[in-house]
This record gives sequence, C-alpha cells and structure tokens, in this order.
Amino acid sequence: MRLVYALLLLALALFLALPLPSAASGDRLYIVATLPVIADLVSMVAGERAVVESLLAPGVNVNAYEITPEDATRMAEADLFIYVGYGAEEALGLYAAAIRDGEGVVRLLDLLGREGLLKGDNPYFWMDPLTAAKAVEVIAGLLASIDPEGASYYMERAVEARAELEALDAEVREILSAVPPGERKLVTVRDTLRYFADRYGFEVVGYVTGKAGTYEPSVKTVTILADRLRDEGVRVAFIEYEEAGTTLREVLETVAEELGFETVGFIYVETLDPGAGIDSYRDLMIHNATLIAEALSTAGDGEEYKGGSTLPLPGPLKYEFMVRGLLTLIVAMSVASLVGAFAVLRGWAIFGDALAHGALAGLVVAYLAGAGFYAGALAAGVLVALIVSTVERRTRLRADVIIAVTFATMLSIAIVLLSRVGGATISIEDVLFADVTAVSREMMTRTITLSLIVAAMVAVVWRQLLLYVIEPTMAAALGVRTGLIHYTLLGLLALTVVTAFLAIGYVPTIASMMIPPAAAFLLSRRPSQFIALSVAIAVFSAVAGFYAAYLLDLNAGATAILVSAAVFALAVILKRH
Amino acid sequence: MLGGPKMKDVRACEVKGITVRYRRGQPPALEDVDFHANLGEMVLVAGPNGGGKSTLLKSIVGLLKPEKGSIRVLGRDPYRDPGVRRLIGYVPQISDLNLNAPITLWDLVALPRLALRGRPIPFRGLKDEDLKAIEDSIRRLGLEDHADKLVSELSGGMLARAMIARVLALDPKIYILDEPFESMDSESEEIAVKVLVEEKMRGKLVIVAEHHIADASPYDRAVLINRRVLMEGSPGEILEAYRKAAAR
Repeated sequence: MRLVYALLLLALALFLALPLPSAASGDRLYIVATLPVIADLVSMVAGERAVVESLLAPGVNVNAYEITPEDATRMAEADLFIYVGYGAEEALGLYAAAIRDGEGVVRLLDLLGREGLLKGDNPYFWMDPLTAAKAVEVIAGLLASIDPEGASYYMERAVEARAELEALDAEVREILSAVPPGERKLVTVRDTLRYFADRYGFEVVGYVTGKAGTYEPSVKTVTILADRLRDEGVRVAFIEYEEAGTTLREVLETVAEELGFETVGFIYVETLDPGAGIDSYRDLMIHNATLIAEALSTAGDGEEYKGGSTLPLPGPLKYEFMVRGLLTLIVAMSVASLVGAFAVLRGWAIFGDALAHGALAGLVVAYLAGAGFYAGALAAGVLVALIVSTVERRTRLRADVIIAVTFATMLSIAIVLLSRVGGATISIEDVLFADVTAVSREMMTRTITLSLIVAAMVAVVWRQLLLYVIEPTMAAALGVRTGLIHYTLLGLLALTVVTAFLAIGYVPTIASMMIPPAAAFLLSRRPSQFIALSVAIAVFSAVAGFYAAYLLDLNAGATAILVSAAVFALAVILKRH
Repeated sequence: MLGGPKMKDVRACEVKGITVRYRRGQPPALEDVDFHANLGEMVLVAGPNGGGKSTLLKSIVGLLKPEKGSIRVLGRDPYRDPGVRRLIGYVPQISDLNLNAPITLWDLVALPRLALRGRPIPFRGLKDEDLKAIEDSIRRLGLEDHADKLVSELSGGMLARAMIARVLALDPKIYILDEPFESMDSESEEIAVKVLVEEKMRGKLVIVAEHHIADASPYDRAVLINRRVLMEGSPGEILEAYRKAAAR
C-alpha cells in the first residue's frame, strides 16, 4: 500500500510541476478565434495591440477536433473569444461560453447579422472579400469597445484593411476573368462558395450537403444532385481541403466518376496550410481563385459532354453507384448477421463493438503512419480479438466485462491519437458513418470478395462452430480442436467487422451483427433456421431500408438498421410470454 | 490397423499413478490414482463430493493433464491425441450448454454427431445413417414424443436423458458419465440404466460416477475414491463401505 500512496503522491507532484501554458501577452489583448482564417482577419485590425491566435491549428478539421486541456486553458485565459457560429464550430463557442460564463465570447454570425451583412443562413461570409471587409470593420468596433484606449488605432487599421481587401477583390476578379460565362458553375462538397459565387458572377450548381457539421448523405439528395449535375453538364467539382478525409468527399468523387466529370482539390475555406504556402486569408483567396479559374477555363476542352450512362432501373438505381451501394449494403449486412449469429450463441454479441472500436484506433494509426486503412483496421481488430480471448481464457472475468473494457480503451486510444496529432483531416464521425450512398467499384469488389471468403469459411466449419458456440465443453470432449475453432471464430469476427465497417460504417456494422440475429433468435426453434433467418432479416432490412431511405430522404445504412429493429420489435411482441 | 495390438487385447482404459492438481500450490484433487477398465464392463466410481470423481473422469476424457502418471484410452493418450476422444461418449456433470439457444431436443442429440460426421454446407449435413442413429437414440431413451421441444422447455429429467441420448447417437466405444442420474426421477433413471446395460452387453465400456447411489446392482465392479483410491471391489462391498463412511 505504501508504494501505491508514493506513486499517487509522485503523480500529483508531477501534475503540479507541469508548466501551465500561458499566453504571455503582457499588456496586449489576448484574442482567440476558432478558425485560422478568422484569426487572420481579426489580426488585420488588432495589429500590435493584441496577440491573436486560432484555437485550431492549421489543417485540423473542426469536425475531427477534440478539445485538449491546453486549448481549454487558452479559451479560459483569452480576453476575447471569437467564433463564427455554425456546425461543430459553434459547439466550440458554446463550450467557451460555458467555461467563461458567457463573458468575452462573441458569435460573429450574431454580430454581423445585427449589422445586416449576412445573406440567409450560409456562414461562409468571408469567401467574399468585400463582406470580409465589412466584418473586419465590425470587429474593429468590438475591439475598441474592449480596449477604448486603442479605439483610434483599430479604426485606422480597419480603413487600411478595407483598402487591402478591396485590392484583393479586384485581384480575384482579374484572375477569374479567364473563366468563360458558360463555365461559371460551382460544385463543392459543402455549400461553401455561395458568397464567392454571388460576388464574382458564378452559379452554385450543387453540393453534397448544405448543412454544417456532421451530416449523413441521403440516397435521395445524392440522386437529385447527380440528376442536377448531369442536366447542367457540369465538368468540374471542387473539394474543400477541410473535407479531404470525409465520406462526403467520397460521395462527390463517386458521382463524378460515374458522370464523367473531374474533381479538383483543394480549395481552402476554414483553415490555412503553411505547407502549401497558404499563410493568410489573402493567400487563401488567391489560391482558390487561381485553382477555380484554371480548372473551369480548361474543363472539357475539345470534348463533348456525355454525362455518363444510366441503367434502366427505377429510382436511384439508374445510377450504377447506387446499385453498388445497395449490393454492398446487402452483402455486408448479411455476412455481419451470419457471423453475428454464431457470436450471439456464444454470448459475444457485444464483441463486434469492441472490434469496431479497435479497428477505429487501427484506422487512425494507419492514417498517421500513411499505411493502408484496411490493413491498419484489420491488424487492430485482430489485436482486440486476441486480447479479449486471451484475457477471457486466463481470468475469471466474463467476456462482456473484458469486451467493454477493451472497446472503451481502444476508443480512447483513437481519441487521444486524434487530439494529439495536428493536421488530421480525418473525422471520427465520417469513419463511424461510412456510407453506402455512393460506393466505389473497388470498395464493392473488396466487400463482396471478403464476404464470400467469410461465408465459405463458415460453410466449412459450421458444424464444429455450432457445437462450440452452444456447448464448448462438449466440443472439447469430442476432440474438436476448440482452440482452433475459437480463434477461427475470432478471426471471422475481426474480418467481418473490418470489412463491413469500412463499407457501410460503424453503427450499421455492429447493429447488423446483433439485431437480425436477436430477432431470429426469438423466432427460431432450430439452429439452421436461426442462422438462415438471421441472414434473411439482414437482406430484407438492407433492401427495404434502402428504398425507404430513398422515398423518405434518409440515410440508407441507418434506415436499414431501423427496419431490422422494427423486425426485432415485432418478434418481441409475437413471442412475448 | 497398423499391426499393433488388437482392440480386445488392449485395456480400454488404463490409469497409472496419476496426480492431478488444478492450481499450483494447492493440494492435488487426485493423488497417485490407479484405475483400469475393460470393454464389456460397467464400472462404478463412487466417492464423496469433492473426492475427485469428476477429476478422474475428465482426465480419462483428456480434458485435464495429469502432472504425474499416465493415462491410456484404447492404447492412446487422450490429452495429447484428441482423436481418441471421438471414441468416448462423455456426459459431464455440469454442462456449459447454452440452454436458451434456439435448439430442440432433436438438435441437442444431433449436434455432436453433426460436428464429428456431418459435411460442409453445400451437402446435406447428415446422411441417412446419421439420422437413423439419432432417432434410435432418442427412442431408446423414451424421448420420441419430446424431440421437437426446445431444450429450455424440457424438464430436468428429460434433459438428463437427452444428454445420454446424444452420446448414444455417437456410438462410442466407451461411455463416461458423471453423475448422470442426479436430476432424474426413478422412472427416468430406470430407462437410462437399462440403455447403459444394453450398451455394456454390446461390448462397450461404461464408467459411471455416482454420489447418491440408489442401486449398485447394474455394476460389475466399483472403486471408492477420495483423492486416493480407498477401495476396489464388488459394488455391494463398496456401497456398504461408502454408506458406513458417510454415516460416521
């Protein structure tokens, strides 16, 4: 016990001895803004009188950002905390308001809205330099109210800033003059270029989502987008740097591949990228304008627009990528339910959860190491399987406890890695909700191949597997190699989880491993019936869910799971005692 | 056969001086135990709770590794050579059967045979001879009217008979049953004993561990163990000694 106390004291001492980060701003104002681009605009007026920092390091996606204690300290110590007020970025503002009791926290959209500077609810006002100039003037007034001695200084700076931004506007307009009138169509992942388009005479033709924050693509929205892009004869779409690692980008690229247009990246919206020479708001605007001008003025040179081909199928299935999505959903859910049925009999229903979280940590490590996502996820999945089964065999703990401990640990590892490493444009939510709205050929082929391998392995060992999951001791007493069967089941689980996880996303995967088998469990009296029914419910849920998602404009994977949950609820009602 | 000793010349079960310990540092569950049995015999292993009956049976099945001594079943080491376990029909005292699983009594009886002799999925899992063996076993234990019941719907006595039916369906050379009659009523026990005696008459070895011994008459031989072998002899002698010891 003494040792424990000594260690605790040592830990406390180390904790107290850690230097707390300090702004070291001296007499100057200390201002923290959420986004690098906003921090740069603020610093145009703040000048020498303030230290301006952005909360997010350049390159960090606000949707993937996790608040660290150091950042919370910066939020608390700042004289002024500025946020724009949309999506995940707004959550940071609310967090700051909570720890500062609302003092010295400014939501720009409120401030600019009161001045009548905004158009609708699109938050990306700074993509137009003249709106940015007005915003800078408003910010100057704000700084003057906090630091009255500097009022005239801020006003002077605001006048200079306006001049600079007007010059920037002229420069951007000059760069964009290369784009012929017929090609002035903008397609992006999010609706980020509305202010830009209005200022420079472009039309925003489409985007995957107009909503800020985490968003699940819906079958219907994507079908409508594809229809629109085809009708408009769009030849180029632009990818925001902030969306580099997201599902939404994959959706747009899959649509582009199918319709035969090009995706060009990256344009910058929220963040700066010193590595690519984008150090300031000005650099960002010039970079975007140059990229857009080049891409649109050379797009489809000498080629006639074809618009891709469509299949003679109803609704969303006229697009091949939608057919691929449906097939992938059916196959991934079926194989997850097949393997899940055995896991449910063994009392490992929650195992899929641990594996998926383990795979997530592996995914992040693989991303950071520049290795393949699939290899990383699979390695981590196998590692989790080994840890859980080894601890289960060596201790008296029940599997559910070990599984819960393992998955919470793996998820925390993933979050720690993400919070520790800057420059990550991978978003946890996007990985969690990989989506079948648009599935690439490669993804479909891989999913189907691996699923067939899993199904073939089950077909070979199903008899021993069945005995093992129902009565392990009997299997051992009959000389069945239970160790081999045990690790085969673990391997199948890991392979299935990772395969399904990367294709249809985390929630549909763990749900497919549990819900169809749970419903089938209630409705079956025979093992073969149980397994067949598990798979049948999965297939039905995938097809019905996909169509319901199209008709009701919902996310396909989640809707499919809700269908299987409805089947389960029905089974409970039918079979209640 | 590879020209080795013929089956009838080989002791079906030969245990020599085994010591079995579950955890290092703890007293052994069995110490220096000898035991042997031949085909065509029905042997009673008697003894108090915690006396090592289950440990002996599990060791013979090959589920435990003795730290000393040797075990030969039909001339093979059941721990190192799990293949020989296919020739043993083992009914454990406590099964880890998932009683809530969607399986009927028929499936319960069929599963071990399916695991050992069934085929991969494109084929029909069980052949006609397998189905016949399964149905015969169910009938011999008087369970034919309950074959479609879920295991969760069976009474304790029926489940215990089903546990015997499933090893019967494997047609093993050796039956090893650990307190098989414990949850049976007298009628169930009568049926089960009759079947086991029939199997013995067919030249099988039947080893039964019992704690409450109602009737020792079906047995040819008995051993009384309590960590060590205390006595070997006729069932009557052993029963008397056991009851005297229990009375003290």
